[in-house]
Amino acid sequence: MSHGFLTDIVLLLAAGVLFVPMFKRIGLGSVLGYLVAGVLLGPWGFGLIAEPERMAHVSELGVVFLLFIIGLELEPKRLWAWRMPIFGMGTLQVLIVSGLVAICARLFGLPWNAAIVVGVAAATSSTAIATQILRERNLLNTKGGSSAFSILLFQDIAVLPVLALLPHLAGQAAEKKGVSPWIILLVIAGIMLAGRIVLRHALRIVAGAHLREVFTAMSLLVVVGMAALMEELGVSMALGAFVAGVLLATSEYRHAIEMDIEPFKGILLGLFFVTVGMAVDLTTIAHQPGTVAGIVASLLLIKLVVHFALARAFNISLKERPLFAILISQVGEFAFVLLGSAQVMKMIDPEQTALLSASVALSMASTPLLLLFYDRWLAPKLAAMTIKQPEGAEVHNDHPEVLIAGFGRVGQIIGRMLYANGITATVLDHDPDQIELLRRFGFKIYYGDATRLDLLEAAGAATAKVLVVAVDDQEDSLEIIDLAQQHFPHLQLVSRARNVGHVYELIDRDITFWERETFESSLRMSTEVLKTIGWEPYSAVRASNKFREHNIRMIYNLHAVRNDETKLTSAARQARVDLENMFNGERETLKSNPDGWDVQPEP
Amino acid sequence: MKIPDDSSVLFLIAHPYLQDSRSNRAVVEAVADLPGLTVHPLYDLYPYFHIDTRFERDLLAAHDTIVVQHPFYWYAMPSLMRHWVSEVLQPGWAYGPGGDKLKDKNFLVSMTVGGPEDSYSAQGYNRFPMETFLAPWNQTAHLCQMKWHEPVILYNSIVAQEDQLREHGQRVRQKLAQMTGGSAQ
Repeated sequence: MSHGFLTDIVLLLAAGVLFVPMFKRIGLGSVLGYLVAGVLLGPWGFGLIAEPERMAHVSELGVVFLLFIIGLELEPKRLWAWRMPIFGMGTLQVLIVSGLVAICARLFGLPWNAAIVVGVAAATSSTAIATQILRERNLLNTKGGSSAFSILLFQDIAVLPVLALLPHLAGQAAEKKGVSPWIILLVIAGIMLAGRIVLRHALRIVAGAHLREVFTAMSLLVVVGMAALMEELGVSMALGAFVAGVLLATSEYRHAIEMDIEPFKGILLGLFFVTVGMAVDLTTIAHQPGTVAGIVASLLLIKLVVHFALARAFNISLKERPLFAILISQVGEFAFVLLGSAQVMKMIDPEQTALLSASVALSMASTPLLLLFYDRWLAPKLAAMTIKQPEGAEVHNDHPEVLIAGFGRVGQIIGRMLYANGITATVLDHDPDQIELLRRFGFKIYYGDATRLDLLEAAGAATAKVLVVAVDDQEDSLEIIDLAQQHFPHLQLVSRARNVGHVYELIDRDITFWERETFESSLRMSTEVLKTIGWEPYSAVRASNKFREHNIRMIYNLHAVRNDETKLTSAARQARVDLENMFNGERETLKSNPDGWDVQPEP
Repeated sequence: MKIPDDSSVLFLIAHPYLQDSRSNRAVVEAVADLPGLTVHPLYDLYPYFHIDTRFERDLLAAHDTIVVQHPFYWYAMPSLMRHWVSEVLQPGWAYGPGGDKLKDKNFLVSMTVGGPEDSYSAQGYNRFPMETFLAPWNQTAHLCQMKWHEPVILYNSIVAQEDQLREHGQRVRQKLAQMTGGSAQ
C-alpha cells in the first residue's frame, strides 16, 4: 500500500506489461487488458494505488494525443466532406439515444432533469476506445468508420452546450464563470485562420535547430498547449488537440510529429484505460449485480439498435452496419464527468452515481467482447449474406468471357488492358470504393469475397473461359483456385503470385498461367539499367530474356525436389552454378558480333 | 516442353496468323496425324520472339527429318523463322568446326506463295526464278550438311479453292512419306 508516486508508476507499468500481452494473446484485445489491470490495481481491487484521481488527470492526455494524431491524418478537405455525417448523424444519434435513455430513466423514477442528464451521458461514446479501434483496423477510410468518427466528433462538440446547460437543469442560477460562447468561437476561428501559418513557421524554426529532442518538445508543446488553451475556454481538450492536428495535417513535418507523439499516445492511452478500470466500483457491482447487468444490457441494446437504424438511414452498407453500431455502443468517459457534476448539483444521489458509473465502465469493457463476437461469428456470416445483395449493383449475367477476382494494383491493369481491346471483364472485389468508378465504365461488378462459391457462380464462372486470380492474399488466391478447379474445371486460370513459395503452390495445382507480381517489372528495370550503363538495347533485352528463361526453368527444377530439404539445398546451389554458367556463356555470346563466324557455341 | 521420343519428322510451322491462313492450315491439317511427326508452331511457342535455343537444338537433334512450312513473305521467310535460323543454328553445333549435329538429316521447305508460278521468271513481274529466292534455305541446308529435297510449293495460294488446298495438303503428305521411306505416311 505504498503511496509513492514512483511506486504507482512502477505498478502501472508492470500491470500493463503483464496483462496487455496476455489479453492480446487470448484474443480479447489490449483495451480489456488495461481495464482489468486497472480494476485489480484500483481502490476497489487490491487497492494498490490509493489516489487514482492523480493518475486520471495525466492519463487524459492519452485521449488528447490520440485525437491529435487522428487530426494529423485527416486533411481539412476530407473533414469538410464529412460535415453531413458529423452534424446530421451526430445530432440524430445524440438526440435519439438521450431521449430513449431519459424516458427509461424517468420510468425508473428519476426526475426529468436527472433523467435528461443520464440520457445525454449515455448517448456519448468513448472516443478513446472507438478511435483506437478505428485506427487499429484502418477503418477511417470506410463509410462506417468515418461515420462513427463523425459522431464521436459531434459528441465532443455537443459536450459544450450540455455542460453550460447543466446548472439550468439543476434549477440553479448559472454561475457567471464560464467563458461566453462567442469568445470561444472567436478563439477557435482565430486558431483556424492564423494557427496554420504560425505553427508552420514555429516548427520550421525549431526543426532548423537540428536537435531531435527539441523538436519532440515542440510537438508536445503544440498538443498540450492547444489542449490547455481549450480547457481554459471550457472546451473538450481532445477537441482542441484534434483541431491542432487537422491544422498540421498538410504540414511537411506531419510524419515527424506523428512519430514523436505516437509513443506518448500509446503509453498515456493505456494509462487512461487503466484509470477507467480503477473507477469500476466492484462493491456496487457485487451488491447489486442484477441492477448493474440490467442497466448495462439496456444501454447497449438501445445504443446498438439506434446505431443500426441510423446506419440504415444513412446508407451504410449492410456489411459495415454491425461494426459501426458496435464501435460507438459503449458509454464514453464524458459520462463520468457529467454524472459527477450532476451529483455535485444534487440531481442524483451518490448511490445512483456509483451504480451508473460502474455500468458505464462495464459498457466500455463490453466493446472488446462485442468485437470478438463480431470477428469470430458475425463477420463471416455477413460476408456470406452480402453476396445475395450486391449493394444495389446492377447485375448483368450475359456470360462474360473473363472474370477478374481482385481489382487492386494487379487486377486493375489487366482489366484496363482488356477493356482497351474491347473485352469487358466481370470483376469480383470486396472494396466498395472501386465499384462506382468501374460501373461507370461498364464493368460488371460482383461485390464480395471471391472465395465464395456462390459468388463465383453468380458472376458467371460456369460459362466464362478465363478466371484471373489477382487477389492480394495468398491463401485467398489458393482457396479461389481450389474452388474453381473443383467446381468449374473448364476454367482457364491465370494467377498472380506473391512470391516463389506461392508459385510452388500454383505449380502443384497445375494452373494455366502464373506470374510473379514483381518479376516482369523488375526485369524491365534491370534491362533499362544495362541500357543506361551503355549496353546495346537489344543485348540488354536478350540478357533479360535469358534470365527469365533460366529462372523459370530453375523454379520448375526446385519445385520438383522441394520436399526433400537436402536435395533442395544442393539443387539451389546447382541453380546458382547454372546461372553463373549461363551468365558466362551469355556474356561471351553478347560480346561477339552476332552475325560473325567467330561466335563461340553456348555450353 | 518435352522432347518426343518416338518422333522422326519435325514439322516447323511459322505463320504469325495461322488461324487466318487457309493454305497453311490445310497443310498442317493434312500432315498432323502422320505417325512419328511432331508439329512445332513457332509463333505459338515464341510470340515474344524469345526462342528457347537449348530446347530447339535438342528437338532438332532428336529428329531425322526437318520440315519448314511457311508463307512466302517479301521474297523470304517470316521474321520469326529467320530469327530462329540465327538463334538456333549456331556455329560449332550446326556448322563450322565441330558443328555436325544436323549432318545427314533430311531437309524440306514447304511454302505457300500468293502469286502465280509464271511470275517467278525473268519475264514475270517478280523477275527472278523461285530457285533464286530459295537459295538462302538451300545453302543453309548445305552448310549444315543436311540432305536437300525439292521444295513443295503452293502457288496462287490467295485464290486457291478448297479442293486445291486439299490437293496440295496431300502432295506434302506424300512427299513426306516418300522422303522418310514410308516411316511416315
